[in-house]
Amino acid sequence: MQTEQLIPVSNFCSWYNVEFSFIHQLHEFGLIEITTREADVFIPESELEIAEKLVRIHNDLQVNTEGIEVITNLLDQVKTQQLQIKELQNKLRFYEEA
Amino acid sequence: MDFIDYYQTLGLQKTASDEDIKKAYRKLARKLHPDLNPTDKDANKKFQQLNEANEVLGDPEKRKKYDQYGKDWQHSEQFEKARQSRQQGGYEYAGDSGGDDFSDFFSSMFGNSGGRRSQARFRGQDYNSELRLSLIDAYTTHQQTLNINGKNVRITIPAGAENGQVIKLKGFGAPGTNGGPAGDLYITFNIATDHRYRRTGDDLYINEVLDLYTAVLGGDITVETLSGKIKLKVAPETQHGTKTRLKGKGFPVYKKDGAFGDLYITYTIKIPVNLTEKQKALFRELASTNT
Repeated sequence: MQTEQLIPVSNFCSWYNVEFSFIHQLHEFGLIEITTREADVFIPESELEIAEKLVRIHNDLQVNTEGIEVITNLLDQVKTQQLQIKELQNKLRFYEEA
Repeated sequence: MDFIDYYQTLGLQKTASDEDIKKAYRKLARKLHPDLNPTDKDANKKFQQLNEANEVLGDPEKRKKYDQYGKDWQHSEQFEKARQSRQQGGYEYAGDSGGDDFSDFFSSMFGNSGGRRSQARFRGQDYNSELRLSLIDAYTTHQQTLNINGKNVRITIPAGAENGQVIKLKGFGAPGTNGGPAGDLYITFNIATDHRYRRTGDDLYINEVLDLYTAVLGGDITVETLSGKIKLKVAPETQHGTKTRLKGKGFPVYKKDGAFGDLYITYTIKIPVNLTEKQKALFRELASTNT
């Protein structure tokens, strides 16, 4: 059985000096996953990297959760488009070689 | 150690107000933040330079010292000694951040503990690298040992990798700053063009030469594929440019065990050359029947 590492949200909040409501809102916006076990709320380890990134954007750039959602969506779009460009380059290479 | 023009870093004149500095810093931070520039290798460095400029110019005391001794910063030590002698018990800057992320210039002027606030913990920069593979390499799941910053790392390359595809090796990027986690290493596969096989997605395309007699009369041929030799029946009167599809004889589908694309064979008919007189006569006879 696969075990999952969980980080208590309270620990995360005190380490990064953010409110619980901020993390909760990120979750509400579908930007991170949190999980509740026996009334305690945790962040799965797999979500830690993205949670830290969102906290940095929030703290360093004074961006609110709505802004973070917009930024995340745009960055995802950029990533998707980069992949599409790569795929198109491959297709183009196929026809150039033909 | 070069002089750093912090005003230039923030795009400001020396006469800029505190508010101008704050505004310029925020504007540039939004532009240069490493999390918003994941593909920029220098994003971390640029952002650190920006933080350093803000650290100095955003603090009235440090700004005064910088303005006074900036270009002649070597004398700042004397300045510091003179200050300390004036203050009983010496002078110490507030703040607890390490100066490891500041430039030598900053450290020489303000000391290693010159930071006003603790620095953000940053994940290390991601590294990007390229791995060249032949089509045959990409056809089978195999392991390769890469040397990454002096460390040998063994990676498994699943069959079916595509040209331009990127895999991530977590934690093999640059070390983090201020205790932040290390970045990741992204490896892009560069699959060399193969002279025999052309690939599009999971399908493979080849040209197979048929001699005239097999094309006309039909027969068995052996075709070399990436999974080995296979026997094929060629139908009589096969035309030049005829295409045949061999289901499941193409490229493996990435991370889908047992799934393969198709192999498309295009026949090229080879006309015999250097015919003997007898052969020519037979062709003439054949031609005369075709009326």
